[in-house]
Amino acid sequence: LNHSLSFSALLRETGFDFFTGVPDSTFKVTLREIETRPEFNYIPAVSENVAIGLAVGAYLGGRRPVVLMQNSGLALALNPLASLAALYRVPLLLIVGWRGHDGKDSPEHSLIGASTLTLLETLDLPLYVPDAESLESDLRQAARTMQERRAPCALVCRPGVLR
Amino acid sequence: MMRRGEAITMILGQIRDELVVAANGWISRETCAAHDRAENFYMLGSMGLASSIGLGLALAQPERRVVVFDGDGNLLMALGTWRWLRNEARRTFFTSYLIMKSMARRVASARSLRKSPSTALPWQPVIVMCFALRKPTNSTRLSPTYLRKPAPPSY
Repeated sequence: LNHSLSFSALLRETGFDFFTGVPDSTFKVTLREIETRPEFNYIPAVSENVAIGLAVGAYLGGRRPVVLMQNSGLALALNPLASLAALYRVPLLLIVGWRGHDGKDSPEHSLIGASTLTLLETLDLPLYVPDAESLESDLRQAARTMQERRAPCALVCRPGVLR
Repeated sequence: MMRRGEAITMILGQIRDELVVAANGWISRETCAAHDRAENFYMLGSMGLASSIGLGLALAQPERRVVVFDGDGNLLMALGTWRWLRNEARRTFFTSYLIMKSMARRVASARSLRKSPSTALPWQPVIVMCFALRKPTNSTRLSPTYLRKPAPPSY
């Protein structure tokens, strides 16, 4: 494992080349790098469902997309995940900030935090919940699973996991 | 007054190698009926996202021109995207910018809807967007099957 690489650099190294999403504090360090470095060409989306649309369009144009979002935005993105990304078998990587995972976050995160994994499982989307040690291997496994299943795949990240 | 299907047929008759994204519902059906081609993408669900799919496609293929057939409801569901499309078109050297042209106005009166809901449908508008982030050149062409069967990415 190469622990010297930041997570954003790992994403590039894994082959991803199109980045869009909506910010969350869970991945603020990663997003700062993605936003500020021109090689990422980050496209800020106005909402999470629009981010899925952008990512699918980019995939149709030959790119390998990543969508970053908070889990509250995942709820907003469920329809395009089902009726667009899964329907057209688009492999895209969702990086979902898992707010409210332990019930100790702000009240608005409690219900969606408790149901985040269930929502993804209900849509039959492969998901990984990395910790700091398994982050790199989970990312690589997620990228392989996406390709094999030709489906969106989620990396659900608790606060503090992404470096 | 031009019917939506006629407008779509007319535009498809003019285009050459442009990538086309058609919004859900009748717009996709009429696009398919008028000229089914490998460069067309028919958005079956995900209402509101034709504009963002078109933008993502244009960002990935900046030398290609992308045409989006969108509906008025779709437009309203993703107004935020439109502000961004405008910004992007200004920021880059997009030649013919973002063309947004309503080809037909909604004239489906309550009366015609009452008489026959299905015949009222073709009078709803189509919004036509055409954008490219660089001046399109004739040298870049996709294989005809490109949009339907994208090359599987290698990670």
